[in-house]
Amino acid sequence: MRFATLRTQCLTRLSCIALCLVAANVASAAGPLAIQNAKIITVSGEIIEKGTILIRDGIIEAVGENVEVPGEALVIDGEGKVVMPGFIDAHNSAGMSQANEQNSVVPFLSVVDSIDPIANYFEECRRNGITSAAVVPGNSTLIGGKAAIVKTAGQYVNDMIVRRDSALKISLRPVSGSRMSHLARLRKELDKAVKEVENEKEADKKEVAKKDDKGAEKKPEANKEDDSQDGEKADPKAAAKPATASATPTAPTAADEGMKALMAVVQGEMPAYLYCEQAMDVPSALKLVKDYNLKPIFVLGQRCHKAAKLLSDQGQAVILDPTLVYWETNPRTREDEKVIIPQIYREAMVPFIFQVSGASTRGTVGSSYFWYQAATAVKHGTSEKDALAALTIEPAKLLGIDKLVGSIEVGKEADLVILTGEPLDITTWVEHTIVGGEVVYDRTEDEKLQRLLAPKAE
Amino acid sequence: MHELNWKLRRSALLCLACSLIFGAACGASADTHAFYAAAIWSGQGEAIDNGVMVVTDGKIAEVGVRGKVKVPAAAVTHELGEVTLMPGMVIAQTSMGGSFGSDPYSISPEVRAVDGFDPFDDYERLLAAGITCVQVSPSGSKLVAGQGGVVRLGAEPGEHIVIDTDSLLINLNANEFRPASIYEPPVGAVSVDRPLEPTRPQLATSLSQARVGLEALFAEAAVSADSEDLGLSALASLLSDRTPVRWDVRNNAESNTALALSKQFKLSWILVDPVEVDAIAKPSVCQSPQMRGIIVNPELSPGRINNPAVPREGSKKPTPVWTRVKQLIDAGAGERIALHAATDSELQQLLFTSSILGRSGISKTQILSMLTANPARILGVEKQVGSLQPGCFADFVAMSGTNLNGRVLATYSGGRSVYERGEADSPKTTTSYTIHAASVYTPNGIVENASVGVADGKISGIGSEISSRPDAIIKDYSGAVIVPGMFDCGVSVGTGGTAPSVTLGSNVETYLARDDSQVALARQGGVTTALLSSSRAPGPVMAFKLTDQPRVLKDPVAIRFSIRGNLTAAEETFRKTLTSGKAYADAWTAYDAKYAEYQKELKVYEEAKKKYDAAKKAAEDKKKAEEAKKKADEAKKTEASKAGTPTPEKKESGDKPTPKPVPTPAPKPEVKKEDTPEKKDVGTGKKEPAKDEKAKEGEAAKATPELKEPKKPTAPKKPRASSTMEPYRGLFGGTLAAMVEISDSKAADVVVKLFRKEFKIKTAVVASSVAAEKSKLLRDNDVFVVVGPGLVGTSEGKLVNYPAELAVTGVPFGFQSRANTGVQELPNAISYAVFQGLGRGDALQALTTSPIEFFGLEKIGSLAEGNDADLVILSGSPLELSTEVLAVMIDGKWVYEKEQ
Repeated sequence: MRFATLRTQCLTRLSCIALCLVAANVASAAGPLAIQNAKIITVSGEIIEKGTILIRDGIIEAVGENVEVPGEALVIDGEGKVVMPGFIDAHNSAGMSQANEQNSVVPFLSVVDSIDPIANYFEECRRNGITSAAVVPGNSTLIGGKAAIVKTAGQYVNDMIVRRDSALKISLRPVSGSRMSHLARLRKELDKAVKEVENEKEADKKEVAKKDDKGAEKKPEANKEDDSQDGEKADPKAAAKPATASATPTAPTAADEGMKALMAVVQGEMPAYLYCEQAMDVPSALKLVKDYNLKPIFVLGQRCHKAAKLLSDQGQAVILDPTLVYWETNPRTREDEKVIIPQIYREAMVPFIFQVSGASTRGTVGSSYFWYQAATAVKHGTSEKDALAALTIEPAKLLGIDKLVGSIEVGKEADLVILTGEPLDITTWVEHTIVGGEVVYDRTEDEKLQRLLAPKAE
Repeated sequence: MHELNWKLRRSALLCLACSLIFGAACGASADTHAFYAAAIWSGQGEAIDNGVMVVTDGKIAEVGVRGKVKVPAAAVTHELGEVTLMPGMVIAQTSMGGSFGSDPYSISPEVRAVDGFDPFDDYERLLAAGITCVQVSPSGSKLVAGQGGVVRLGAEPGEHIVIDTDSLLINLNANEFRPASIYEPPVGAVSVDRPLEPTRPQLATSLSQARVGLEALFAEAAVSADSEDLGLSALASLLSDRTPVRWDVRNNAESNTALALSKQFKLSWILVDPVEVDAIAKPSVCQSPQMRGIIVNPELSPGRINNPAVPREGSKKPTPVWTRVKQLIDAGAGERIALHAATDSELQQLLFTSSILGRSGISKTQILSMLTANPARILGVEKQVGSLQPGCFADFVAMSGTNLNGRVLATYSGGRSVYERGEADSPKTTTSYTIHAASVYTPNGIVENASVGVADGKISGIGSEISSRPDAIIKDYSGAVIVPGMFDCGVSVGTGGTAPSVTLGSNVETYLARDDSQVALARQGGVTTALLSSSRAPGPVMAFKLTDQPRVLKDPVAIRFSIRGNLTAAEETFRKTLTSGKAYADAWTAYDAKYAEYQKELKVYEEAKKKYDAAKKAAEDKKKAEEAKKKADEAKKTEASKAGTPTPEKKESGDKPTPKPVPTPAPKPEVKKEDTPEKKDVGTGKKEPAKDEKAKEGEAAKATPELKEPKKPTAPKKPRASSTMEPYRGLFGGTLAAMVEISDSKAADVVVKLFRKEFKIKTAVVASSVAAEKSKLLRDNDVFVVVGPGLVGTSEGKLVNYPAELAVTGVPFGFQSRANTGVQELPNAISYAVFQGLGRGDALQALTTSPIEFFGLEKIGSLAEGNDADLVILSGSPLELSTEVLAVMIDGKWVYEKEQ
């Protein structure tokens, strides 16, 4: 629970910073906020047909039919509206300037250095009810760097970060050359990390043996992956590692940073996004998971559905390709067959969540919206409940932030989206998006949208 | 892939069904199957006859003789019949692991070919060839190509890898050497974390350089386990793991280099495709502990013709592969020789091409071992694949026959069917079958243990060894009997319930209904062809096949008469009918004869006319030419007279050119034009003859006697045609038969007297007891008898077997059922007659050839090459009540198959 308190503190601190900097939105953050008389889809519990949500200090304080709203609270009338947890984008490379480096093995990189808070992407997120997003290096890489989970509102990157170095991106799509050499390279890197971990353990043992009486205060903490960790706290560790490896206690180099990330990955401390392009990559990925004790997040290409069955006992959701329905020619019969990806995974009992197509691949309008992806799944047999969970709590679980966000529950962060109607209805608009208790999007003030929808001037 | 998915789903369903059935008995027990087959060959030694293999959870639990092996009660039984089970083939080297992209550096020991293998690809082509497991090696021309691994083709993706690394492939053969060059790694963005990679020399430029390079490489690898270099560290771990090295070699020098390097670095070795074996076919080499295996290819690709080079004088004659393999076996490498194909596309022929080794006396089981147990041993996976032993994966092949020479009928992976012959081909496109049975009834007698080949609706062959198309579906009805489709001389099926009421001259065919549900039932007894007659008498009778869309064979095939009531009156009526019929027929016969004569005359006339015309034209031409010449002369004369003074000169000068045929061509076309219309020439001829030239006249006179115009014959007058009378022409012409229904023994006399004696018509009587009574009379007058539906009756308290009576007397006869769906009961009725003494042969003849011959039908009724594929598969002897109809085929299509 130390984790949770830390998180709260951090958030308070963050929101304080936000308070000072985001002058435009200050009003709502000052006092409690209440959404009244709205239909509340909590995702975690029952749907409240007409209820109230009370938010204080960015945290949901109360949810229910009979919640007393304090006099000082700012009230949003939710009559006829639907409130949902904000959507969570579990895999996106759009929030930064460039998806991938030219080099294919760059575990030391962090997307945080590249995230652009005023990128169009974040504005689009708020407009479409996405409140958290994992910004992940792209698929054209081998070890592409470290991902980060951010809120979609904030002036500076640091305001937005939920978790720095949330996971490492590994792509099984060969950048150049063959799958064989691609995988050989990957294994080599992972092997090095495994060896390094062993070396460190050995060194630790020796040290423990030497300084037996000095106690165990230097033992590595169980929870290395603490999101509140800033540079100051991580530094001594980073310095300690190269000390064992190279015996020269200099400032951490890029290689050390990379090794640190890889070591965290092979110890199962840092999850790894495993991008599989073809069905044949799935068994390879599963083997890597087994061999290197990885904590995977599967990102699946369009044609991976043939391997759906293999993913059924993973116990966690997979991230589907943005294109959910397409046509494929059967090589044997030469007949075109419609491939409905959500249906295949549902039948294979593999839970799934969605991706939206990025700005560069915006082929169809539909697949760039989360509600559309969920509606497509519902059209092909997924229950509405599951589909909505796939936009909210499921990605939260997959990213390990379900204690903070993903559902409307007392104590969770107030990341909400207020819709004008049922979430999967095409006529529904996002009315408000609330991140950390602040209204960060208001349709009535969305000038771009209004300009887009305004009757064409002659 | 789709197909496979479907199969998987189906097998899943099957499993579900099984678990439902057995679930109650054994709870959550293992998934157990028992495969019974005529023979099981485990991969080595002799086959077990009448064996059973128990498979639990995809692995072999037990193999043994049927009855001696304890089969768990919960096992799902698979009776595979007359097949041999053998291990799925294991190919010791393929390049199915994908190739390198644009990776030009010749040393890449770090790559694993299994990483490039796509388990989701469609491998049915190989599974159909009986291959269930392959070694994959990195392809591409590299010196050190990388690590090979072993995968199972039919396994579920994800469980397909048997081992990641079985060996390291090093290409020593000259084809893989490259010109001396320096490898320059691609220059990308250079940064602190990504320094420019150093250039490296390509090692394999010649054998000696390759050797030196490899020595250096191995030596370096031995001390650089922790190297940053991907290749070196990989090589180091391979060396320390004692991974065998797979040397791709051809000649002795290369083999020697491979052996020397292996010895130097204490590596076990596999040699691939040695073409010269002098260096290795020694006991000291073949039996050395480092020897892991030798892999050869049959050096044969069916359908491709090689032109072997003429050996240069003095050079050594190449040893054929079978001799080389024999030498290796003699040197003690027997259990470590495996086969592969020169290219992956030749893999599916390997089962066939491998038998070329038999030329040096290598036995079939030895050859098959080189495709199963031996490669598994070389790859170090003998505990998993390559033999049918407890503990191995249940990857096996069902081959036709029991002599290990058959074809692959089905392939199983992990006890699951992954390929079944024929099933992949859709029934729409396939029209070929090979149907095997214990005995086949042919016109030449019963053939035991034979097959009937069916292609395109016809019988393509009968015998124990018949040809069949590659896509032919093999149907094995062991123990069954194949007889020709039966013939029913009178049914009332095919019209959808309505009786066809048509008069002579119309066709019964118009009454035929498509997809008559009664037909489907009627043919279940084995009747494939039947006669359907009009309900009117006299009326037409049609012969047709009992297919879904009844196929008419002949319409009409006979005329049905019915003699009833007062015989005296009837006789007269019939005489009248037949007389008028005969008159009509005779008139036409006479006309036909005359017409034939006329045709002959016409031909003679036309020829004569042609000659006449030709002669005429020749004469005409001559005349014309002369006339033209004359005209020209005249013209000159007049010209000359007009000119007056310069006569002498001009005359001479004008005379000279006269022979010039200049003017002649001009009139010629005109003449031709006049000539072509038929008789105009006669007129013109009369007009034109020149009077002045006597010689010419004489010629013309000479020509005219020849030019006597022939007389055109006149066509005979046609008699009046009448469609209702038309069938009588057939009747009296002998192409149609009369089917006379009688119910009285006196009527038989009338029939004989009238139809046979007076009018000499091909006659059949439809009668049962009467025919039996009058059998001698009928025989003496060549009357055919249609008997049925009642075949056995009583007369004066005594049992009379009508068909037996007819058979004994020697009257040709056929059966009729007069039924619709009950046609299927006809064989049962005949069985009773057989039980009561009718000979089975006579009965079968009466069901097939006799009526078919009598009614003049062709291509049916017997199992002979070229005939329609109408056949009936019976569980035992025909016309035995205990015999069941297993299947009926009409025109090469299964119209009835007994449900399993």
